[in-house]
Amino acid sequence: MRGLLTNYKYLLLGIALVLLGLHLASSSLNQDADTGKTGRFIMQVYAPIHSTVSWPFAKTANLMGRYLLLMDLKEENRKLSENNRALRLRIMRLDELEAENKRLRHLQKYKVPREITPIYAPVIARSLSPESRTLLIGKGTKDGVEKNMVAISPDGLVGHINVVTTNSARVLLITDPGSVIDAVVQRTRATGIVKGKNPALCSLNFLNRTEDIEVGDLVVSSGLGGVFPSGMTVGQVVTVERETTDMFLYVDVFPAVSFDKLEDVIIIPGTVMPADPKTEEGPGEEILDYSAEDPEDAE
Amino acid sequence: MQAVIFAAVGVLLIVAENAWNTFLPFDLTAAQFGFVWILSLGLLDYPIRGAVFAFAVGFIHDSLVGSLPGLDAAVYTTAYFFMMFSGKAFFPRSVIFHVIAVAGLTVIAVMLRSFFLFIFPSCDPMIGFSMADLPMQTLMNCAAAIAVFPFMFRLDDLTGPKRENIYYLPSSW
Repeated sequence: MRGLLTNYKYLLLGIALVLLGLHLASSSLNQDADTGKTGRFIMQVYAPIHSTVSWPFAKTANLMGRYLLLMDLKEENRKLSENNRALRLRIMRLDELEAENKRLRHLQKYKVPREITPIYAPVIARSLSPESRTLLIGKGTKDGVEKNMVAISPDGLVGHINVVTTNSARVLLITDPGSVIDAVVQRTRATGIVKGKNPALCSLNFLNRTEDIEVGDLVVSSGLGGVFPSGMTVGQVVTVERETTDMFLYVDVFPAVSFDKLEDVIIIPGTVMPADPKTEEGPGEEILDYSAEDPEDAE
Repeated sequence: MQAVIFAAVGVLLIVAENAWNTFLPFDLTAAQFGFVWILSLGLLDYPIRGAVFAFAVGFIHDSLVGSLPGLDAAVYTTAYFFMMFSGKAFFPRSVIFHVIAVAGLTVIAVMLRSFFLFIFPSCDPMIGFSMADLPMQTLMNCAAAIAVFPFMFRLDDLTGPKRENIYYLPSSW
């Protein structure tokens, strides 16, 4: 027996150690993968050794890694710059789409009768010279645009179509000297004729000097004349001159629409009504009559 | 004294194994330096010391990686004795032998691990077993063996007792 132990002592030692390891492993099966006290002790001792020994190597590796990063930096910078340019272009496009979306939503505030199909037309050019104040729009006869149709915007009356081609049309603005609109002062229902005066103003003519007109009064189209529908905002009174010797008042009207910022217009053939300011919903197919909202008329 | 030096080398190799990904700026499977070191001890003439080191390194490995405490201790010890007995049968100073032996024992160690887990109740024998990782792991261990084995032989020459035997020069590899 003693000889056997001597001859196979290493083999027996190996078997003993393997069995010890397996015993430790099997006894730790019920400990929910806890490494046990010995394991925790080993980890506790090992951690500072690991930190100390690996510190110089880690620093060296870190420096090498930084150097390698620097080698790739130029290429990475180029790629990032390209990405940045592409993203900026995309942001510009998205900004433009967002602005267009807002404009179109704003246009939707105007409700038209269901039998009338509004034509949304982009403004592609504008002429605001003293002798001719017009807009060129990107819709023509093939889109249903016809001469004498009315161009409006959510803010009010823009003008009417005076020349039309297959794919474009010219809008004569209400500030053009040749533009004539039969209008009423919303508050007093006094009627007059709005004519273009200069690029920024219109004049309200043929108002009797006894009429009660004040600065700030709203002027709307009367619907007479066969071109412009009634109830469309033309502008606001900014000047009232009452000469003792004249029969009529001199009234200047500031257009409700800012023509130099106009990017889209709505072309309508007939009656149109603005949205209900309380709900921003149009009143359906009813024609808005401003006179009905006038408290003085109601009385 | 030699035992202390060997232990210090072992600790350094375990640190290198665990800090592998910290050292390298790119992702590469870590060589099992501790395992390779244990196998190199199998070719030196210190069976008891080597067995204790094998058990200790395996147990430390278990504690650090969070596997069953004692499992790798058993596996490392078994691999150590495999190496020790095969070193007596083959040419122990040949690099080719080192590489082949390390490759074979890397595979055997994985199989042993699965076998030990198999004999335990409620253990999945395939835990930690990945055929996809095995070739790369074997390759890395073989590469480590090319450096670790000659280093341990030289260290043994420098620190161990003078023996007239079997030390071979690189020209005889």
